Amino acid sequence: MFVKVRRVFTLLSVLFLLFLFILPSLYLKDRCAELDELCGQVLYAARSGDAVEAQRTYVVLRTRYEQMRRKAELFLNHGVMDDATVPLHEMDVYLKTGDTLALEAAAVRFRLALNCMLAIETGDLRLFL
Amino acid sequence: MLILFLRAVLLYAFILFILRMTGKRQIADLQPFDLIITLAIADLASTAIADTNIPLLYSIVPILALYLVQQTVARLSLRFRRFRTFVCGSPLLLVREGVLQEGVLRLANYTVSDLCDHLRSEDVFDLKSVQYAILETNGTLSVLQKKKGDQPQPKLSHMLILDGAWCRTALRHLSIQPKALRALLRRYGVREIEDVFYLQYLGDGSLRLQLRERRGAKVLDIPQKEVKELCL
Repeated sequence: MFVKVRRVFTLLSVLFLLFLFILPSLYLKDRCAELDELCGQVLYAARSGDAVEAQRTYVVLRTRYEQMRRKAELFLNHGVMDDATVPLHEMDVYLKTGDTLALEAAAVRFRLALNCMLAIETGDLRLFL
Repeated sequence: MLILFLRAVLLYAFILFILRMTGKRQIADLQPFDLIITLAIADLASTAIADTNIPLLYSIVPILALYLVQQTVARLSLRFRRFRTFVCGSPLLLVREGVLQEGVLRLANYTVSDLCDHLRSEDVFDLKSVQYAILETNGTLSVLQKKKGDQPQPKLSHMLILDGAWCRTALRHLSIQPKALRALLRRYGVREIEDVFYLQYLGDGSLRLQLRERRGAKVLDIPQKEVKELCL
């Protein structure tokens, strides 16, 4: 009986680990690509002086990010998530003040944080050692 | 605070289940690879219990990975004797027939004082009364004491066949020819060595054998007089 339970548990562990190796990384890949694109649209609108469109796209970006954050915090270190949240909030301030250079700098930090999340989940060799 | 409490309870239950699945009950039973897993699991769990910034999965995934590694090592150890010897080491005979084995003591990084310490914990207070002392792979010391008076001194038992394979060192030590032993086993109805779960040479000079489960797990005792003919 015990041997059977152990076998089942071992099998379930393998399946659970496989699930964790595949699904979170696929989910993050999709969401990060979408967020990256939205971030690009915010920057484009801000550069072309369309503050209304930039603000509207930013709201979509923030909503999408918050949706992702709730799920990603289940499997990612919250510190890594904060590294993306802080520049995203800064972008809002720079959009309101119209400081495009600072907005671009914040967007770069936001994108780097997204890349870092992806690297953790997709098994980047730089993080292995 | 409630979250910390709940995380601790959850991880405690998880670790308890994992350790139960590994099949070990106490530290004294642990082989080196079990010990590594136990220490690593404790450290991994404590990190996630105290830090709410870290998702529980950060502890659960490495613990599951260690569990799977432990299961793999344990299975390989059961299947391959050489692998088992590599991972767990083999028992070392520190005292043979009352004589301290200096080379073996050096091999085990054991001083005579260490040996005396261990013997005292086994209620043996002088080296004179020790016939055999074996340092087991889990670090414990097994002691076989000398008989008092004119009684014959006890001898060590040796495994001659284990998991269907010859134990050649023991056969050489006892000067037993595998060919002669195979012929003796045939007389007792054992056709293949692979069918033998174990064959032990007992201290009184007789043999005890058990067949594998698929052969009915039958136990046979082979008397001393038949075994004597095997020895060169």
